Amino acid sequence: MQSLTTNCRELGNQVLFSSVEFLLGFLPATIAGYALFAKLFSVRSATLWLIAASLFFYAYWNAALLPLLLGSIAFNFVCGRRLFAERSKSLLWVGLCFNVGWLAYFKYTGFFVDNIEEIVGIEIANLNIVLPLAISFFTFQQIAYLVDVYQGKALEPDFLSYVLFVSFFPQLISGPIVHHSEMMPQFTNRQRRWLQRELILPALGFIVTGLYKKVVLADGIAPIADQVFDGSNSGVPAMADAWLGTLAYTLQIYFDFSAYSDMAVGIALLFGIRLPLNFNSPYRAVNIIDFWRRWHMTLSRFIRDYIYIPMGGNRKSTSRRYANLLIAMLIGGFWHGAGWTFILWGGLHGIYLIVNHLFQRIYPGPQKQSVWSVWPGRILTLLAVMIAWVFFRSDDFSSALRMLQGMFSLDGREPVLSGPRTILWVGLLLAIVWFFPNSWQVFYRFKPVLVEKTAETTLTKYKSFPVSFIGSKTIMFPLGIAMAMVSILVVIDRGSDTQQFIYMIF
Amino acid sequence: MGEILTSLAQLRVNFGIKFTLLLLSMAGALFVTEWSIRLALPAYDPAGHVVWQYHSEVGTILGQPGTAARQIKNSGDYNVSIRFNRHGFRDRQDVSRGNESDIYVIGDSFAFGWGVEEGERFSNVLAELRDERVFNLAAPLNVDGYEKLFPYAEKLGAKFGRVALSLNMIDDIKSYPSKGAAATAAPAPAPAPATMFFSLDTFKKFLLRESAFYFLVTQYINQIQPLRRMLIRIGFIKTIKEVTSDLPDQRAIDSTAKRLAGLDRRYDLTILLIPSRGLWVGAKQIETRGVHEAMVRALQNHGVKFIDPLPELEKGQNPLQYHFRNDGHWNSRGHRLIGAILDDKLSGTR
Repeated sequence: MQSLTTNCRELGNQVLFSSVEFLLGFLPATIAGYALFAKLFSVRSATLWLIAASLFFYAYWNAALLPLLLGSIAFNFVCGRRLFAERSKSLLWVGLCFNVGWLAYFKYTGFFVDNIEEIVGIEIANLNIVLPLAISFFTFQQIAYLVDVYQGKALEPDFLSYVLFVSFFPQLISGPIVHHSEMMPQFTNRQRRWLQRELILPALGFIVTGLYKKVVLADGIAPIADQVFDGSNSGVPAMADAWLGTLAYTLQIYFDFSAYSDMAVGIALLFGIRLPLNFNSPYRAVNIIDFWRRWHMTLSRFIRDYIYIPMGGNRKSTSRRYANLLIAMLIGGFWHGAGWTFILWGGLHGIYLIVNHLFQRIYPGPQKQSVWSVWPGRILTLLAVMIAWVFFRSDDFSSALRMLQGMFSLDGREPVLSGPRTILWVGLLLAIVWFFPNSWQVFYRFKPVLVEKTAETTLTKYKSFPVSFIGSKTIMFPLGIAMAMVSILVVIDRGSDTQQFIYMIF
Repeated sequence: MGEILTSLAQLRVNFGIKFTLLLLSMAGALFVTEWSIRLALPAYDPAGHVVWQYHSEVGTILGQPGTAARQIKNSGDYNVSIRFNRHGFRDRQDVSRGNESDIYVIGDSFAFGWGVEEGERFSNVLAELRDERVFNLAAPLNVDGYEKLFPYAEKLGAKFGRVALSLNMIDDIKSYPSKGAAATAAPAPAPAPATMFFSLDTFKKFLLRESAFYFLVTQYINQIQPLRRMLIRIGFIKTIKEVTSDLPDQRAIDSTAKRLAGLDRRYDLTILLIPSRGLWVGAKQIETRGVHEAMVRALQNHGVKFIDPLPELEKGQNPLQYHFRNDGHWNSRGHRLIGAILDDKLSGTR
């Protein structure tokens, strides 16, 4: 089946957070310009500079698509203005239809046409629609804005703040999906300072940790996953390969997304902006409900507030609640990519959530958590998540089935992965995921991110050792310098072979 | 007074703890650095580099059979793939299928194609030019080792015809014990006691062998010209211009020629001389030329056929253009020239 949309990967340049151009060119230049404007003129002029830099950041990928972003911003701003003036349901629907239609056209036309062609057996059209970078992120963000304006939950922004709210480059490409209520007050704050002394250390800490996670850990483990998943296109992998490859991808996407989230937080802090927490050690979750409170937290929040709850949430019957849950997760899966594998991934998580809720009705769990109650749940959750990742990563449905066949049968080919070394790397990374404090736990005392109450509870037990130990300057500085040095060496060595972030394609 | 002493003692303890922690964290940082590079850039991982191992059935070292690795020079001279076949040779062909009409190339690292891709080395160039099968049986050995390769290849099924044996004028000329003398020869001298002093060269070799981080960093240092020049000046980096081996004496030359003559009686041998780069650089250029000429005379005296590419190498303006910038081996241009010379001489158009 020929895809009708062109993935953003295939077009133009990308200013990746982990590229030399970004780290040594764009970022220092943007900070310097911002500082200069703020010092010589005003915060407003500095904001203008930041908008210009953000639009350049977007246009660097493909300048021809910049008008699409600007058009989307302009439409939603005007629509919001009208909604402020008059709370009209029909106007809200116009806004929603525009955004959903916009997303559907660019992201899903190819998928639908492909499927229709497959069913009727004839070629309908040979479209070549370019998928604009970050369209899923900025569209969802603006849908949330319009709904909140209609519900009277939003304050009317000025145009510049609104443009920055959508285009702010640290979160433009891969999130977090920010909420206007948490960003607008920061953007409109005239007292905002760039490079606040108390935020420099956590900002650099987040950037270095994120860069290290991306270029060393995520990209380092990726070849193991690629070897197995690429092989599954032509045959059933050996059982050991299938499990190791899936675990490798599970770790790759974890470190990749965690890396992006860390870098986004760190870069935003340099401009005195705090982004919402988006990633909180999801593989330490003890069940799937817990997992979705920790993985891509801002997307979960969007799905909960703007899809699940408007459909009725848990206010209706039990069966309706589970149906809502399943539909919301299917939409979440479809949001990730226009393909059946993504829909299945979302559906699988929907089923997991339903099973989890049903189980909790039968057995609410122990009053007090212990090793014996936490670890079985943690391992079971990870296994369930891994199986779902098989669909997420596989090129097509049949490759995913071959992977699963490899995992659960002995029909596979000869193993291709070299045993001890692969196990060592995978084991080491899993140990980091499970036993090391995450970035925001290390830098918690600086309050670097906006945290929802539910996430706060996961922090309490990390306040003392080992976080305070790892967070101490004696440990942090040599380690931070080593991580920064290695990351820069790797970035330079890879040169133009820098891998893009996985979530950039959504 | 007592309070001051107590607080001083406390201060010392605190300092001690902090200092120990700092040392530990620096060691930890070094560990993180080393292993991060191994994960992110496996090409620099020493575990992925060429592995030579002792083959008891051959009685010498060869490549690890059936393995693939990278051969990378930290000075940036080369980064090539090495694949050993099931017999431990770097050859896509199987020597067990060789017969009398084929050409066999035996030799050390030059014949192995150190630093060049398999298809670029002179044996492959020769095969292409002549449209004949050329088997490559090379390993970092000397004449003693080359002798052991013949029976090994024959045991595998090879039937030797024409053999081009490359003789490295830096490493291969030695006083070899005469055949059968080994049993009565004086016991080998005991190894020199390990020196107590720090040797920079030994430490560098250790790091090169064991550390991905060292490999990566030195590679980049070599690319920063002012830094490289400074390190050359203080003796930290050695270049092609430093030929450190001692020159062989007449006894070693005669011994080598005699051993080769012995081999020549059993096989159709043509010796390919690999001129020392000491002919063109370093303080002993005249003496090196003397050694080269003496070796030529010794081979002539023993009636051994040989090919001396020196005139061709010196025909151009700079013979070093055929070598890597830092590593003394031939680059692909050098291999192309040698392949062409071999083809020319083997065709009898001399």
